[in-house]
Amino acid sequence: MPNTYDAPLKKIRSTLELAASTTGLHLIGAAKESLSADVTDSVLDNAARFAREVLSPLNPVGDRSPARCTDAGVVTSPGFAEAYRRFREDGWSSLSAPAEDGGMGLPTLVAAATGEMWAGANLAFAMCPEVAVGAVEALRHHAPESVRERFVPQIVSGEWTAAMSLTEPQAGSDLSTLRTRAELEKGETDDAPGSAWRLFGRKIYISWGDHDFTDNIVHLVLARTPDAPEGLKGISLFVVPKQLAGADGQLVRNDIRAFSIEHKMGIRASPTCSMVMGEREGALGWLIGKRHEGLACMFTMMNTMRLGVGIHSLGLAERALQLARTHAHERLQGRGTVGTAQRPIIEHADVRRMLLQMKALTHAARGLVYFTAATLDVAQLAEDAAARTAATNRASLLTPIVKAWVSEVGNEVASLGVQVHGGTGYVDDAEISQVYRDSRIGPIFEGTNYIQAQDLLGRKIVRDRAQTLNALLDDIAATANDLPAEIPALAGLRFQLATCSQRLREATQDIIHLAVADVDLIGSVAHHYLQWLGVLVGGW
Amino acid sequence: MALAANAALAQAKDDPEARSALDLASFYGSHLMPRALMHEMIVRQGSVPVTAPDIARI
Repeated sequence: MPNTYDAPLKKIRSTLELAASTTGLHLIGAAKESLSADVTDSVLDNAARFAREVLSPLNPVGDRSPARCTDAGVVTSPGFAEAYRRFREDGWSSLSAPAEDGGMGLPTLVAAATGEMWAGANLAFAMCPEVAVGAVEALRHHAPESVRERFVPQIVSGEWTAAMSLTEPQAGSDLSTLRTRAELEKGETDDAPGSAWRLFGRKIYISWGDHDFTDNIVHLVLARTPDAPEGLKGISLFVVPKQLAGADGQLVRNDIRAFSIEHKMGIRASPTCSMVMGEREGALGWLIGKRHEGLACMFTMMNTMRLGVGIHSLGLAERALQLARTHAHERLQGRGTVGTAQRPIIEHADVRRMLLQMKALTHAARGLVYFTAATLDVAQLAEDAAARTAATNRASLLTPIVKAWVSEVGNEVASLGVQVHGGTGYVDDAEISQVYRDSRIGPIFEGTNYIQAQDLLGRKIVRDRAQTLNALLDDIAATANDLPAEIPALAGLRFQLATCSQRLREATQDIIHLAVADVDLIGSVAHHYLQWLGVLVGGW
Repeated sequence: MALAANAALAQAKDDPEARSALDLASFYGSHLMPRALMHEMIVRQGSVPVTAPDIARI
């Protein structure tokens, strides 16, 4: 009997409702209808069914038969292209995109809940449509209308997918050394946003950079124009499709292709491509945003992707918990007293401890991810400008914690899941082994967790003089105060939240002062600072 | 955790979801929140334990 992913619908619904009410999203007119029980129940029930019946059975298939690179392009794992066709036909690719672009316009909060299900059932598959969400965000915010009209509707409908093309062999976390170059297209006199360019260069580690799901793939590519200054300030962003519209309306190949894919530890069904542009006349692309301001445009997409990593890790943590709990109920080892029957291992105290740790961390992660998603919705939809600003600042503070703390939680929970399985969890055929390997990328990609920690402490806290942080700590302390002191089981959490938020506030003030003279301070303590704040916000 | 626990307290005591939320809040307070103390102690040590050792000896 296959053990397929089964979305924890009751828990997902209650966390979604709690996030909506805590952030005030449920009171905002533009979100009310989307968050009604009729809408969310229908979306979540259907998503759970799709995850269980279509995506989950393909998960081990993708691990054992990874995507392949052929002369004709990348061929995906058996069954994946058909699953994508059904995913698109069911309308899942357009869930959170605005109605004016052909989307359903549902809140990010609801998309986070469905995203958790896609990732829990089949992370490698889930990564493909997720990139499209980030690409649409970047194009909507930064591309001129002529470019938006050409690409956004097809991406929203799922007719085309998208890819984020940043990394080069010499430019990973440090993008300042990018070499891909862009030259203004012949006959083009204007180098303003929307102008046509030819791109030449190589990119690596491009998730879903090529595949057989769709006819076209829209790449967002960072490159340098001839007059670009050195470093990060010289980077521009271009949209480069795999196929171009020919004179007769048929698609013709652009000068961009995947020439190899990586053989990876996990997410093996997700083709991680090495791309080359400009083997002939150069890949035709269009400038997004202003010249030399590409990194800022790309960060619109990157922030969406960082929330996405938290959603991935949450889904994997839930899947690890399901697998471990089932195993712990079924596996018989040890006896209570001589002569009695063997007991399921869940009756052993340390196995219960591990399962409780997995469950508590997973629920804390879900609370943080959904709260952040709801905060992003408030930042977009609140009628009051001050409320939008406060929500924007809070979401900006929480995003690196979601990415880094939740991805560490995903690793820890997956590792505990292997431990609960014992030796059977260490063999390749065990799905928990795949979950463990799939989860390991979380702390690495979309900006390593060290980058997140530096961003949090350096940019979001020290530069802000901790104003946004202190407002969050005030809310946490108030919640701790609301926990009834007379209930012994909650006394520990009440005390820990109150003291921890106060001590973190004091330590932050000290760091702000000390960092002026000690240039190594933020880099040295940022990881533990982020984890400290993550444990606290998770307990909130 | 605490927000979910507060919400659970308002629900019926025999609701399994509410019981689970309270169990997890209790567990989180006793087994996971203490990690905050470890992180705090390391943060309070500042940069010296990381930057003082010679790179060649790492």
